[in-house]
Amino acid sequence: MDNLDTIVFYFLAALALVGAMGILVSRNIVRTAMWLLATLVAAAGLYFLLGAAFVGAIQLIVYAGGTLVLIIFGVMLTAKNPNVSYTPRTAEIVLGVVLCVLLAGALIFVLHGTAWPNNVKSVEEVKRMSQAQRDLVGPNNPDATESTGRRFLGDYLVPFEVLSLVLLAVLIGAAYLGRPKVPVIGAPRGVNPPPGQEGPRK
Amino acid sequence: MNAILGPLITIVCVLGAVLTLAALLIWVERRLLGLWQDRYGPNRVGPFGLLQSVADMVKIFFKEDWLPPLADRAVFIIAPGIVMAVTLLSFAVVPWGPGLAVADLNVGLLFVLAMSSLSVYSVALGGWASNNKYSLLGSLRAVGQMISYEVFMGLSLLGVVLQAGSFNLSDIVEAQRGLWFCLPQCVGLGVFFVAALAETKRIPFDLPEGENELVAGFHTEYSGFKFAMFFVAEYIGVTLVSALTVVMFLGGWLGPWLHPVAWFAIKTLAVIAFIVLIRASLPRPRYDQLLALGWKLLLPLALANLLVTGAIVLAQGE
Repeated sequence: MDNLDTIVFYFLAALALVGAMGILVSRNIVRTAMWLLATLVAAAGLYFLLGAAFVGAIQLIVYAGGTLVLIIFGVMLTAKNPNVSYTPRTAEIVLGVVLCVLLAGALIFVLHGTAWPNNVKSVEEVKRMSQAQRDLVGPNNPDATESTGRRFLGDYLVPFEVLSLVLLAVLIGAAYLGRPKVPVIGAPRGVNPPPGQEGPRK
Repeated sequence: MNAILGPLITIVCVLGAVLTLAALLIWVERRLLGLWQDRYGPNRVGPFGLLQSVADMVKIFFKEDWLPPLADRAVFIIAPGIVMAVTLLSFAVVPWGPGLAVADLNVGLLFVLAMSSLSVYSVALGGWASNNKYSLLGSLRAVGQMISYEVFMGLSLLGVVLQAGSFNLSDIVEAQRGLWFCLPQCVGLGVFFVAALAETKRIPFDLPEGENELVAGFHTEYSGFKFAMFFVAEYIGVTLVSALTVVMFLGGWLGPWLHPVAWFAIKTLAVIAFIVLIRASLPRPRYDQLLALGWKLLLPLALANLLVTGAIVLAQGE
């Protein structure tokens, strides 16, 4: 079974890398988003492979679902011709390459400098453990859903709530931007702008 | 060897059952619609017209496989595959009987929701790649509709998760041994059912196709086998939401006398028949009515349901 895991890992890793290259190479906004989707799904697959099904599912729901909104923005903001493509300038390419090399160097440096733990347990091993032992193992815990929830609403309650406030602000902002600029006939009370503040009629 | 062979047999059985059921559903739906609308429906091919789906499949194999000029070829071809793949993948976590699931994931429910959020891509990309304004309009409608209703679908199911104390679908079924969740979670069931109909783009919510406005919406340009994939995936989706309704609210495989799998099949078929009855009787709403229903009625209902359930579970726990 270890063999199978290795094959699946290399397949997913290749998909993630090809997807990342595709993002860089493709000139069409929707295709770029599609390659991004491939990379995100491959990352989710890696999480599933590692036994972190909760993180994998959340990765699919949040990131893969969010990419769709990106595609829709791509289609709607380039509304004149959804097939429009863009060409980067030479300066932009040079800047991008320099940044990429720097980032890759930093990542490789960190990867080499980290002392990786050797005592990572497989899912089967963790399942045979008692609860006390499981709590020690941490991220490989098969009941990660519960411990994640307890952490969010226990140790990290304040950052969690601050995040939800940020989301609330975004929601209110979106609702404000989405208000009609000119009065709509038959709209419910409060939807139309107050008299004197209407935008120009089209 | 058994470690690989056992799951493989389960996978083949589930795949065979789901695909056969989807093909059969096309015939069942047309016959039931005929019954409820006072006409015959397909009754010529084979006994009772049973072989109608086979005839349709043969016909669709011989159709011209047409690519619209100026379409984005790769995306156009991939799009119908996405919906087929993710809908079939969702069945991996559905428990057909005690211990009878391809992958008994701890986060089974989240997995189904994740897959349903991926299936929107198929419609969005297919409509965009067709290079046709009706297709694009249809796919934009579909995205708006499905992203919105995904929210209520997830929220309405969280009440059940709170009561069962698990995301695992088998655990959720086992938790219904005393009382099916359709009674304490009746609000959740209502919200979920409406949201599920919208997710599968079935008739009261088939605005992305809306044939009197958009020709055929997102799949206007599709023909031959690619169209068949969209078409069959819709029926697999109907089977999926029916199975999910049974698992979450109707006690899954639980029931007296009969074999658990038989109970599961009977309940799922009953829910499917109800979905067909809805198609036979309800008209399509306007697009703003659809979104208003979702955000102004279903969202507050689902949130209130979650709040009340959470409070009761908390009070009982202490």
